[in-house]
Amino acid sequence: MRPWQRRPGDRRWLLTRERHQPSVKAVVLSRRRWTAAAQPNRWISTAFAVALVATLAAPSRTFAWSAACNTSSEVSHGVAQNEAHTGVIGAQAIIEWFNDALCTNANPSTVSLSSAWVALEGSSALDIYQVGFDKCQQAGCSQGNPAGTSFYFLAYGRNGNATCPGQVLPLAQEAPKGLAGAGSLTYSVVKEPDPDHPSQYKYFASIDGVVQGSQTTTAIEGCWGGVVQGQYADEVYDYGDQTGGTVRNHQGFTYVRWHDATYWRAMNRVYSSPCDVINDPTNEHCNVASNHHDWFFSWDARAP
Amino acid sequence: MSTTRRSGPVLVLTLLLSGCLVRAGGSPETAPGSTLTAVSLGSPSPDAARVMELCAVAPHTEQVIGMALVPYARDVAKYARLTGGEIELQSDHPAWVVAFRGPIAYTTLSFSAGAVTAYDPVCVVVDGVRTVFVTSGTQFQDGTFVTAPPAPTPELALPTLAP
Repeated sequence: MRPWQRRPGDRRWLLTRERHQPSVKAVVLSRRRWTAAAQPNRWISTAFAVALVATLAAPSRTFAWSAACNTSSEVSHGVAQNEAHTGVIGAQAIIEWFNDALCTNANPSTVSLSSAWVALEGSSALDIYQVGFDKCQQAGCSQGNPAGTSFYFLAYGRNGNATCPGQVLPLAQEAPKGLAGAGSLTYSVVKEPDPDHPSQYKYFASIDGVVQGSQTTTAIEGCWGGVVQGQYADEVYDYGDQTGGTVRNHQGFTYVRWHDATYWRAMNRVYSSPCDVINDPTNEHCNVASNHHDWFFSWDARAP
Repeated sequence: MSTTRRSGPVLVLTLLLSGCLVRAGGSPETAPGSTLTAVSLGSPSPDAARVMELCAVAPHTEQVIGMALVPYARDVAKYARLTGGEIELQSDHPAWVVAFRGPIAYTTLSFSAGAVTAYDPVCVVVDGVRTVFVTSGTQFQDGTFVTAPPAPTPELALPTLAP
C-alpha cells in the first residue's frame, strides 16, 4: 500500500498526488508563456523545468510484467464502482494510469486492451457515454484508433426507440487530447449549460477540465430514457492483459464523484469494501481505500 | 429596412461566389449537382482514406454495399437504410457514408456491451466523428440479440467502391 493511503493526516500524500499530475502543470505554464510577455524567458525556463521534473516524477513500473495472449480466454472483464441514483447527471474521478502492459504475441484476431474511464449509463446495454484512456492491439482496437500506444477516448452508444431510431454502437474514438501518457488526470461527464446556447444544456465529456466532446440532452435523456448511473471502471479483455495496477502499485480512482441535480456528491463507501464489479476475482482486485470513502484501488494479482 | 434592401444583391453575389469557391475546392469525389461519385478503393483521397480507417473498410471490402460523401448529413437516409430521424444526422454538414451488408464484429469498451456483432451496419463520419448505426440488429457476447427498429429501403443507391 502507498504511504499516502496509510497517513490521512500527513500532508505528504498531497505532495505525492501532485507528483502524479505532470502534464497539467506543464500545459498551464506553457499557456501562460504566451500571455506573460513581460518575462517570457522566466516562464519558458519554468515550463521547461516543470516539464522535466514531471517527466522524471511520472509513475513508472519497477519492472515490466507481461503474459502471453490467450485468445481462448477473451471476455470483457475488469473492475468498477457504479453510483446509481435517481437524477444523476454527472460522473467524475481522478484516474491513475501506468501505461500498462498488454499481452504478448498477439495475432490479428486477438482482442487485447487495457482501458479505464468514467461514464454515464442508461438502461440498455448500448447506453453509455464514456471518457477515458485506452491501450489496445489487434482486434482489441476500435477501428481507426492508434494501436499499441495509449490514447484518450470518447464513446457514445444508444439503443433505438421512437425518439431515436437506429442503434448506435459505443465505439471508442480517439479524443482531441490525443495520445495518453502515464499520470493522473480528472475525467468527467456532466450536464452543464451550453456556452454557445446558455439557455440550453448539454452533457460534456472533459479531461482535466478541457472539453473533449458533448452530447445533447436528447441523446442522453431522450434516447436512453434517462441516466441510470455513473460508472468508474477499468477493463481488460485478453487473459494476458494487465489490469490497471500491480501488487506494489495499485491503480487509483480518487475523488470519485457523482452529480445530482445541483451538486457534486462524493462516493461514500465503507472503508476497504470490495468494488461493485470484479469480473475475475482470481486475478483482479479492487477495494475502497482504508481511509477515504471516495477512493478505490485496483490491481492485478499476477503483476508484482 | 433600407439596409436590408441594399444588402440583398450583395448577399446573393456572396452566396454565388461562395458556392463557386466551395465547388472549386470541394472533394473530387463529389460531382456537381450532388450526384455521388464512387470512391476508389486503391487510391482514395486523404479524407476518404481516413474514413476507410474509421469504418474498417479494408477488412470488410466484400461486405461494402457502397461508400460516398453525402453533401448534407440529414440526407444520409436517402442513400442508406436509416429512418432519417437519427439525431446524430440532423445537420447540414457533409457526411461520409459506408454501408455494409451482413455481420461485422466490433469491440466496445463497455461491460454491458462488450464485444458485439452488428448486422448491416452503416458507418457515418461527420466532422471527423464516427457513428456506427446498426440497421438490423446487434448480437451481444452472451448471445442476446437486440433487433434494431425497422427502417425503409433507401430511395437512392450509394455508389459501390471503385477499383
